Amino acid sequence: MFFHVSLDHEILLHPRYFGPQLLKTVRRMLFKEVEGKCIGKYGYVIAVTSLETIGVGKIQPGRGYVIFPVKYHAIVFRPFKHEVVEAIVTQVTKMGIFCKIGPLTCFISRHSIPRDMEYDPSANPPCYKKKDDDSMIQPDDGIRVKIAGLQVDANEFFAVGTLMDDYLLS
Amino acid sequence: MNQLKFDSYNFVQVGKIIAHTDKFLVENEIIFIMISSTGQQQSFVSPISGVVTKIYVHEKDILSYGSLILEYQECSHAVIYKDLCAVCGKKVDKTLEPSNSMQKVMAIEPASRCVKTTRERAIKYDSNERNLLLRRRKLHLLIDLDQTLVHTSNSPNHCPSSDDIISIYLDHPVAQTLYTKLRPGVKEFLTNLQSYYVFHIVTFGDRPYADAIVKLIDPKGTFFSHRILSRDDSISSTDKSANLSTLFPCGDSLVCIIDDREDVWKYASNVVRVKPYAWFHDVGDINSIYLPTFAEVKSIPFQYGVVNDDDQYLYQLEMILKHIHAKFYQIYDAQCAQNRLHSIPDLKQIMPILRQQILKSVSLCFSYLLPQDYPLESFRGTFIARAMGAQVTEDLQLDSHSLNRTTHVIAGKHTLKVHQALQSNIKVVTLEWLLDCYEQWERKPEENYILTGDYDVQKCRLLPEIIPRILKRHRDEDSAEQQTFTTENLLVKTRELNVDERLLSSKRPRTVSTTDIISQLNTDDNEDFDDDSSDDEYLGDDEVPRRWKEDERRRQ
Repeated sequence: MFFHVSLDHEILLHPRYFGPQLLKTVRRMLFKEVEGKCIGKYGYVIAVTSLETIGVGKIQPGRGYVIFPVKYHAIVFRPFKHEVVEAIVTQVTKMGIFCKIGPLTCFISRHSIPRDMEYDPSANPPCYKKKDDDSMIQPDDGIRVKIAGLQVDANEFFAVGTLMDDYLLS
Repeated sequence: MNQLKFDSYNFVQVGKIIAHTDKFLVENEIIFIMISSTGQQQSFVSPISGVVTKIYVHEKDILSYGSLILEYQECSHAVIYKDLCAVCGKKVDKTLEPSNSMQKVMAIEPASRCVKTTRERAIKYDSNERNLLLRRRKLHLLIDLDQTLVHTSNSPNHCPSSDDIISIYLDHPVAQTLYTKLRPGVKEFLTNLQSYYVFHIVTFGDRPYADAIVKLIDPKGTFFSHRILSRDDSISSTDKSANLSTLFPCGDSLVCIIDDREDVWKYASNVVRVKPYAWFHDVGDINSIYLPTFAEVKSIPFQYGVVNDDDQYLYQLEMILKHIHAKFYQIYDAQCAQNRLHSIPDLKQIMPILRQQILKSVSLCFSYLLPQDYPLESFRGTFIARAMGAQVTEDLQLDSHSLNRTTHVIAGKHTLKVHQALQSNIKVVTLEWLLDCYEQWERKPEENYILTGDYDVQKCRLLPEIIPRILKRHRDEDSAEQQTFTTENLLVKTRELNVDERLLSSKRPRTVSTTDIISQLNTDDNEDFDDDSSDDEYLGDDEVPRRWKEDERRRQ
């Protein structure tokens, strides 16, 4: 699910940036440091929409670096268990399907793929195929997945998905 | 078997039932809609996760506290992705996981390295694939890249040059440009064998390198598609055979391997040793697991201009592989006819049988190749000769009635034995003959391998690495490793040198200073045979130079 949230970030700046371009640099550093990253609680920061405030910089004693507390608004992507999302298939293996939900990698095991879809290793690239009609899943296909489980690693989410529900697949 | 009971004190009526038998229930999934006494509709969600085995409730039943709803089997967490069960989505506690029953299964794709499953399930998936393979009358072929299909150099002034050298730029992990030459006939080789084998790449190059090379050979992905195992995916960094059990949980009886090194496969009998493809003179295998020796740059006769590449080996290899394939399915069909389908022939048994035919009725002995008192059985030459079905004897067998009368003498120098053999019309050949027979799976005409006076046995390919492996690819993770390796090497060398000192003349000092060692190390590798052994250590028949013993010792 996507959220528009207000977040905080601290930017550590080298003294060489202190000059007329200071605030511009802070802004640039924020985009660089935050966008595309995963923040444990909020999920992946997709885009910074606006800067609320750039606080007063604090000089680090003995180092000369300055820390700027920044408040900003951003669109974040936070996956939830049982959420239905659209994904792009990246790999099809005999163990199951790997797909990408934006920045999030999701694995769909063979148990969670409808029984009538059969793995066809002879196809190039390998795919899951329905016997009675030509519908199949192969890399670069778009599929609809339900997230069955989520795990937060150090700075990343991992998900396992399922296709065993109504209106899933495509 | 577990039972799920109704746990509310209110009476409710069952509405629509959503769950069905064999359905996998996840926690919080709706089982049925319940209608309370006031007519309010509510969904009854599952407090458990598992497979439904039996449903007891029916539509319009009235439920009270303790009524049986369904029976279910809890999830056994058979497939695990990272720490998540891929079936029920629950987090699996690593400490609770019965470690012996879980096995990593690889489908060669990099991402699937995080997926683990039970051994039974892995075997089930693999046996499906294996049956399909047998139905399509194919076999697995594991192919090495470096010096088998391609030869790559990282030196910008590589030589000799050729029009078809392709430069590849890699920016990961270290930015570098590599120069690759495909072995002549690679594409024809793969195209012709495509209907006989399923190709897999198993290389010690890292992932970006493997991908880049595969793209050169197979731009459309028709030969290998995703079946590429690189160093990054490999379980062991020195041993390719460790990957077999994860790649083929059912066993490797349908697997044939082509590689220019047998040692990384632990000399398995299903390896076809390939004649190493060496186009660039100044480099061996840049992804070799062994580190460059201390060899200083040998002055290689630089050849400028375009040289014709007359390597024809892949055509021969194609024939060998087709022959193996034909033999396999011949045996398989015979077994099918006898309805013994449960036993699939094993390539590890078929290939040695085929190999035994190559030098059948040949009996040979070695001269000037083994150190004195060195056991014949531990010599690599003996091993490959016996693998090809030849008899190997310690001494010349001149008795014309004996079954194993010597037919060939393999010699490194004109020794007494050689003279004796020549007198009784026995063929005297070099080690190359044996090796070429081994690599090309046929008895080569001996005339091309006659021992001549200027033959240098040290250049033989069977002996430990003599190719100067001075150039090696840079990998950031390697630098630390390299350091320890070199010091280790140094220690080994030092020890050997000390031993040598003791063995050699008493004139030399017994202890050597480190600087001496290092300077000696630098020259040692390229010292010629004759320089090594002074006159009083004359090498008699069957005696082998000193350096050789060291190498043998090191290998032991």
